[in-house]
Amino acid sequence: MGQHKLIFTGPVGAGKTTAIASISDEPPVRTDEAATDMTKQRKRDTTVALDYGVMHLPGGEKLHLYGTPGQERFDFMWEILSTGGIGLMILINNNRPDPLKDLSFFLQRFEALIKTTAVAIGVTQMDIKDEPCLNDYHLVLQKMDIRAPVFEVDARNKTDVSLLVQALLFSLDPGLNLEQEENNVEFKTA
Amino acid sequence: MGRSHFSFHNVKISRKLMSTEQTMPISSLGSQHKSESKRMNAEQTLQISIPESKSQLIKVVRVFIRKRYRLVENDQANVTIVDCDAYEARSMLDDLRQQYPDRTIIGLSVSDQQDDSVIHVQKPFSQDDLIQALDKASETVNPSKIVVGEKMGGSIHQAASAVSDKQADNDRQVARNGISTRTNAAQYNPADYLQEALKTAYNKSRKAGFNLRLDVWWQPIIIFPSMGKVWVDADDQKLQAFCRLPLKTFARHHSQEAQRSTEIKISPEPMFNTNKLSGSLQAMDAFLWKVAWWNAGGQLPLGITERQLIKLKSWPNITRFLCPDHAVQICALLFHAPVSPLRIAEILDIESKEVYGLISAANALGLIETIQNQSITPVKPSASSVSSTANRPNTGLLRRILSRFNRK
Repeated sequence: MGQHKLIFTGPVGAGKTTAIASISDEPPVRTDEAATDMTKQRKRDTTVALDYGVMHLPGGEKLHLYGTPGQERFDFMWEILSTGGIGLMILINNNRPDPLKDLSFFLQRFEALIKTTAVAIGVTQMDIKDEPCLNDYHLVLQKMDIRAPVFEVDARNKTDVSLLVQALLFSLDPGLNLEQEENNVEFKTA
Repeated sequence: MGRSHFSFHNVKISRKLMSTEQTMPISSLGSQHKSESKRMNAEQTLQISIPESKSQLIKVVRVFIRKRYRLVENDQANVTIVDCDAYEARSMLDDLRQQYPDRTIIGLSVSDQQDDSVIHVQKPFSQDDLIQALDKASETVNPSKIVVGEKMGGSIHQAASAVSDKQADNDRQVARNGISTRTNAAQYNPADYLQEALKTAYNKSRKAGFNLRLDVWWQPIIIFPSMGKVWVDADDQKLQAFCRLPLKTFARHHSQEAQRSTEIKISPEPMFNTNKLSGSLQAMDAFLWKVAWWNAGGQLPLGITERQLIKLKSWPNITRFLCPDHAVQICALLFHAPVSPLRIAEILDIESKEVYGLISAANALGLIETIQNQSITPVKPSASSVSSTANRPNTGLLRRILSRFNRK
């Protein structure tokens, strides 16, 4: 039975845990602990090992959804989790002090995975702070010679997260087409 | 040539949509809608066959008429589309006339045809060329087709409401897909519609750094550049109805208003408390996107043709913009490599208007890059073309994952 991984990464408070919860078929497994350092200024609990959710695919396969811990001191987990991933979702909290720097950081740290698969970027909290704008994110990507979709995302919103995942899938294969031929006509000779 | 020398692909065309909004009096659209529907139901549906020899032609025609029409069996055909440049086209036509003397024939050729019994469509042809020919064929099959006037009456608001009433059943589809029944041209001129005036006002307000008021013979539109917001006292339904017609068409029939200036006014708007505004403030980009979407009505803007290679500079903010069902796929193709609008519709097997509408909206935001060197060979979109890396998941897996998401 096929087992596949999709990786969610990003800084503390970007919404990784919430995003996984919004599309997981089963209640996600969380390894949150009470934040005891600088993180507690941003949120009460934070992920220290990983978040885990799962999507059941047709044919019995599973897509495992892994969220990396946001804090850099747990970065040893990042490589472990991302090995064998089919793609990378980066969530960036626009309400952090320097979200563009956050983006550069995660793009660099996951460079190997991005090069072999694809990346999609969701920017959260834009309703709270609208600067930097999406164009600023595109400029960062441009400088790093990375082409990727970037959208505004509400991690609580399943549609937003779904669109981001779909953008990743279509980035991997733009010719993907689920729909069957609607004009099912049997051309007959006269 | 005997009958056995060629065969037919068969296409049944049922006229679900007609280009009525531009030819009927706007003020009477609502009242005429029901009677027109009855008339249309009474019409004989077009049933089309296409000679087998040109499979590419079949693909193009299928893309052009998708969802508007449906494919059926050969013996029901009353219209045949013939490639008159094809080998043995003449004998094919002779045979057709002998076997089906009443059949209407649409002939496609690079040169003018002298044959008056054939509805001629000159190559290269656009979707609208074909639709016009089919409408003409429909008149032959249904000679009682109504003739309508051109004069419009009533105020802008009545006109907008009438358009909305007429389209009541179709509005949700139009709102989502940006598709209107306007089909008399392959392209539209953005300068004739709200989007261009809006872009000009955006640019001015951003440059000047203060609020501007845009008056376009309708509701005033107020732009707040520092907030990145725009305000208009109208819901989407009214805005959409307004966007369907060229600005000056509205202006000409704005007879109930005192002023009949033909100029679009952009003037500074004094600062005031936005909390006192009724209605909501909307993000500037999202507002321009949907205005362009509705202005386009499923057409391409001037400067971009159906077969021109274009590319998306960066992804639009599709989670916050009004987008069609296939927006993600269309954007992915446009972002991946240079591709023509028509080719996207072919690859995705969707109605071309959905693609064109999205391209028009993206173009309004400056996201479309036209490729001048048309000799560039567009890359075939497939997993293998994106990267040769072995780590890429296979298409089957991606498709299975995708099946878990509702893309609407």
